[in-house]
Amino acid sequence: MKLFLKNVGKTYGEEVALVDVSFLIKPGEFVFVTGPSGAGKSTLIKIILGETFATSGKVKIDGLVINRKVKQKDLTANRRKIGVIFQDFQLIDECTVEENVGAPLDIIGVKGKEKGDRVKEVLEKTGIMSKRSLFPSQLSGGELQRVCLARALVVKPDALLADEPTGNLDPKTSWELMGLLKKINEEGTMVVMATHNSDIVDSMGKRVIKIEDGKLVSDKKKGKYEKD
Amino acid sequence: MGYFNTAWRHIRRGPFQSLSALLVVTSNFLMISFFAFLLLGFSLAIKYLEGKPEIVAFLKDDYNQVSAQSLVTDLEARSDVREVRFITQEEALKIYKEDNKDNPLLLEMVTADILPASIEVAAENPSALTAIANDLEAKSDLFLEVSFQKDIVNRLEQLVGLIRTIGIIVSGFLVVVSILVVSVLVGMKVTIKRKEIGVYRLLGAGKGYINFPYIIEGSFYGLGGAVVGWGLTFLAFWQMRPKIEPFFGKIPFYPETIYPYLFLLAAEVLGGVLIGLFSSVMAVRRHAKK
Repeated sequence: MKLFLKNVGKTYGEEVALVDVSFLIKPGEFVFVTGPSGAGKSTLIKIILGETFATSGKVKIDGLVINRKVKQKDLTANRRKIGVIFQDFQLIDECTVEENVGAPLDIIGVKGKEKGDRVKEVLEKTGIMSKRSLFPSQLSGGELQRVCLARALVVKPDALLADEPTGNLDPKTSWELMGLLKKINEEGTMVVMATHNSDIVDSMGKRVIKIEDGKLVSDKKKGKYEKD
Repeated sequence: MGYFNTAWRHIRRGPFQSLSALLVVTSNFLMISFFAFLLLGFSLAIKYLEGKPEIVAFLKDDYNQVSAQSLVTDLEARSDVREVRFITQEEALKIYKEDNKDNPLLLEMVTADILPASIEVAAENPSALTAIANDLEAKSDLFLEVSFQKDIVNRLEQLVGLIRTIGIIVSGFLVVVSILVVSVLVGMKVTIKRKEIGVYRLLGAGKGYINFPYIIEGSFYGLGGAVVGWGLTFLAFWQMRPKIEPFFGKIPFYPETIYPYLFLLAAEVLGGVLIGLFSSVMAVRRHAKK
């Protein structure tokens, strides 16, 4: 999957969220999007997902232009190629871990043994096999984020978008999660992670795109977290 | 998780809301079924009466056998007459005995002498009845009385018309109530599940995946309400059969087989499912716009 943004701008009424943001992310890359709270990181993730649309500029994912005119069918197909993990997990409280992880497969119509095998595979990979029958309310923050990751991975996505996934986790759990993300990236999945965790960014030695007040202020191949 | 499983999960997780919707739709179908069963019974009664000799002309005791026989021949020759039966006093007694075989008191002291002979005439169509009856009444030297069943049928038809009109108005009102209740309830559930719907959208779910479980849920209330409403009415009508049948006597109020009732069930199920579908689609569309 190739992710291309050119002069992307986004406003919410009078409020400016992004201004002239341009970059290209190639297949299999690991990219951190950094910046202080309110810089526009989450807006960027939402635009890539098609949850909201850019007010100006061009967003292109694997040749598909994501704007207001995009067909719902194409947008849905695009979302199925992208796994997402959120700071607040966004799990379905009424479903067990297994049901939450299996939901993306239900959506794309994978059933029966294949569904069972794939769910089992990601539950083992993320280390939450023993929690599969529990509900989200019965899990710790770290476990919830693993469920979220398992759900994102179960469809074997081309890209993984992570919006501050360590924001609610303690340092130990955060590092465990980063280990998993690194492993997934090594297997060929593009990872785009919005964060303001400087320790993680500095130690990973990956590409860093820094956004401040909605503007892209730096894009470094092996960057560090630049504090204000 | 399939659409049906998801719909079932929605129902289970909001048991009181679901039960309320089901009970409202059930009570509405209870009333609709009541009118439908009533109309079915009266329709059978009318059909029976229409198929029976509509005119019975009772002959005087000293009637002239030759004149009576000649009249029967004349009547049989008419194109508007379907059937003519001459009932002698002996035959009348036989019929009387058969009709009252369970009541010996009524059989005592009754002989053929006190029962009049009669001519029963069935018309090809009800519109010919008046003309035939008038012709018979003109022969006052021959007949004691001409009994004209069209009046009964007319009155029964008026009654059925009234029941049908009231039934349609009440059923229409109840259908609107059902639609509103199911629509509001499904709408509430969609609102409660807004976060869940948002998550599914982000995971790449299309409109169908999100909306179908709610549409199935609405249809379930319609289907369940129709089946339970019909079932309760059927049981009540069946329980009341020993009391209703003697009241109507020989006139049938219950069909010979269960099929007409099953046909009503099928119609109500179809109606229920359509009500559920329409209500839930309405709710999902309204909330999807928000």
